Amino acid sequence: MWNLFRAEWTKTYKRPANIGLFIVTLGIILLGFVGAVGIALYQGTNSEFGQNIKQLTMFPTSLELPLIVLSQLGSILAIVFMSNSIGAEYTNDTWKVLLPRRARRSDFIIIKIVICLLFMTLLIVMSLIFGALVAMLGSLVIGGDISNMDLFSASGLFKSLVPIFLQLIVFSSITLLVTMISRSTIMGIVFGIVGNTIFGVAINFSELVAKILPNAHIANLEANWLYEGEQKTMTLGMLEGLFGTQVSLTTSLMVVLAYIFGSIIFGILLFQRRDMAGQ
Amino acid sequence: MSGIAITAEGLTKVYKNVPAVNNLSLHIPEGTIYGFLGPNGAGKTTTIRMLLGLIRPTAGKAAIFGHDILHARKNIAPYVGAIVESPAFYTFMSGLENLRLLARSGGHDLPQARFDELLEFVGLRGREKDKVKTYSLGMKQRLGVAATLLNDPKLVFLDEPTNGLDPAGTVEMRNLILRMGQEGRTVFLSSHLLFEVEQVCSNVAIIQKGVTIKQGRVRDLLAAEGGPGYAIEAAPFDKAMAILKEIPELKATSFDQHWININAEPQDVPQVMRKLVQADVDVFQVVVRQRSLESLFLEITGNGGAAAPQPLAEVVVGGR
Repeated sequence: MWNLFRAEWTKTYKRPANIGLFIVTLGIILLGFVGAVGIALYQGTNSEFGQNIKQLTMFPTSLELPLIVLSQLGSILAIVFMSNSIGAEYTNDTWKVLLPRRARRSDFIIIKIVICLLFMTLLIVMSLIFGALVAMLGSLVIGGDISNMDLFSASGLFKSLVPIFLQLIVFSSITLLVTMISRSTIMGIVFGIVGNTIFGVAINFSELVAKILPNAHIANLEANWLYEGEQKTMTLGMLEGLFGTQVSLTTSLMVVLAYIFGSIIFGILLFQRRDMAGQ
Repeated sequence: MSGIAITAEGLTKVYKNVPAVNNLSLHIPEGTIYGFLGPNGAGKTTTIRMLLGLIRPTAGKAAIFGHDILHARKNIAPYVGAIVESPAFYTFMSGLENLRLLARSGGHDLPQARFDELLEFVGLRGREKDKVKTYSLGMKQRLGVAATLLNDPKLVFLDEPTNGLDPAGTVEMRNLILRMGQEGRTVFLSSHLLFEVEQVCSNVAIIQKGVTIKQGRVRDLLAAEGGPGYAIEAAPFDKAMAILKEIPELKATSFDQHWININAEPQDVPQVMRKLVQADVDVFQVVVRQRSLESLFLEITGNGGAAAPQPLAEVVVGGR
C-alpha cells in the first residue's frame, strides 16, 4: 500500500488541475489581502477602515480571511479534487493499466480517499501559512502590528477548522460515489457543486428534507461541539426550526457518518464489481 | 506451474442480451507467442479484458497459470503485463515518471537500473524525461511495452500493439515481440494484421462473434485446411475440373473459374498431369501454392469464401 500511496501522491502533485486548485485558493487569499491593504492605503492607514485592516493583517486575526475563503470554497475544492482524481482515470482509460497490477481494486479507492484528505489538509495548512505571511507583509506596508500572540488560541483555530473538514469529508465522499456511478469528472463536479448548493437551500423548505440531507446535521454537530453560550443557543434554536423538532447529537452524528461511510462503502462495492470496458 | 499459461472454458460475456464473447475456449501453452485473431467486433478485446479481470464474465471460467481469473488475482497479477487497446498514460508526466508510477501502483519500488534497462529495450533512452504528451504514437506504444515488462511478467497481453504505427514502427514492434518470446515469455497477441501474426506467432486462435473457430499451431492449421498444394491453369476449365473432382483426395477447388487448386503430394503431381493430358486437357501452368494465414482467416471467418478472389490472397511460391 505504501508504494501505491507514493504513486498516487506523485500523480496528485503533478496533475495540473490540482496545481490549479492551489493557485486559485492562494490567489483568492492574496487578492483579498492586496485589495484590503490597497484600499487602506487609499483611504489612509489611520482611517477607520485602515485601523480595521491593521487588525485584519495582524496575526492571529490574519488567519480569518483564509478561514473564510476555505469555509466558502473548501467543499467545492474537495469536490473538484475527488471528482478529478477518480473521473480522470475513466476519461483517460488509465484504470486498464492500473487494475491488472493489483489483486484488490479497493486499494486504489482507499488510497484516493487518503490522498484527498492529505491534499486538502495540506491545502488548508498552506492557505493559513500563506495568508499569515501575506498579511504580515500587508501589515508592514500599512504600518500595523505584525502579531499579538495573546489572541492566539490553538483550540480556537481547531474549532474553526472542524466545520471545514466536516464539510469537505461529507461532500468528497458523496462526489466519490457520484463520479463512480457516472464515470465522469464533469458529472462528479456538477452534481457535487449543484448538490451542495441545492442541499443548502432545500433544507429550508421541508423538515423531512432537513432531516434527510447532511447539511443541517453538520450544522447541528458544529453547534454541539464547537459553539458555546448564546451562539450555541441561537444555532440550536435555528436548527430546531429547520428540523421541526430537537435532533440529538447522536442522531446527527449517525446521519453524517452514514453519508460518509455509506458513500465510500457503496462506491467501493460498485467499483469492485463494475466492468472496465473502456471509454 | 502447469505448463499452460491460459485456459478458458465456455467464457461468455453478454451485454444487454448481445453476446460479445460466446462460449469461448482457449488453451495456450506457456512460452508461446500466441496470435488471437478475429474480425472487428469478434470479442478479442473483451476476452483480454476478462482475462485481466477488468470485466467479469457472464458465464464460463478461465485460469492463468492455473489460477482462477476471478478469485485468485493475487496469484496472477505479479506474473502478467498488458497493453489493452491504445496505450494509456498520464500525459502530464514523463515516460520515466509513468513507468515508476505504474511499478509502484503494482507494489514494486524498482531501482533506476531496471527502468534504464527497459527504456533501452524499447529504444526510448534519451526521451524518458520528456512529457508523454510530446511522444509520437509509436513511442507511446513502445512505452506501453516497457510498462508491461515492469514486473518481469511471464505472460504478456498485447492488444493490437501495431495499431497506428508506421511501417518502421511496425517492424520495431514485431522485433520487440519476438525478443519477448525469445526471453521465454508467453505472448498473447491480439491483432487483425495477419501478416504480422504469421511472422511472429507459433500458435493462433481465430474467433468470430465471440466463438473460437480454429485453434492450434499455425503450421498445422494451414496444413489441415489445405496446406501447401498446387494451382493448375488448364483448359477447357470445366473438363479439367470434372477430371480432378473424380479424385476426392485432391480436394479440387476454384475461386475464379481459371485456376484450380489441389492438394497433392509432389510425387502424385505427374500422375495427375498425365490424367489431364490423356483427356485432351491443355495444362499451361502448375505452381506451388503456399496457403497464407490471411487466406485461411478470410475463408473461415466468411470474409472470403467462394465469392472472393481467393488465389490472390494466397502466396504462389514458384512454379514447376
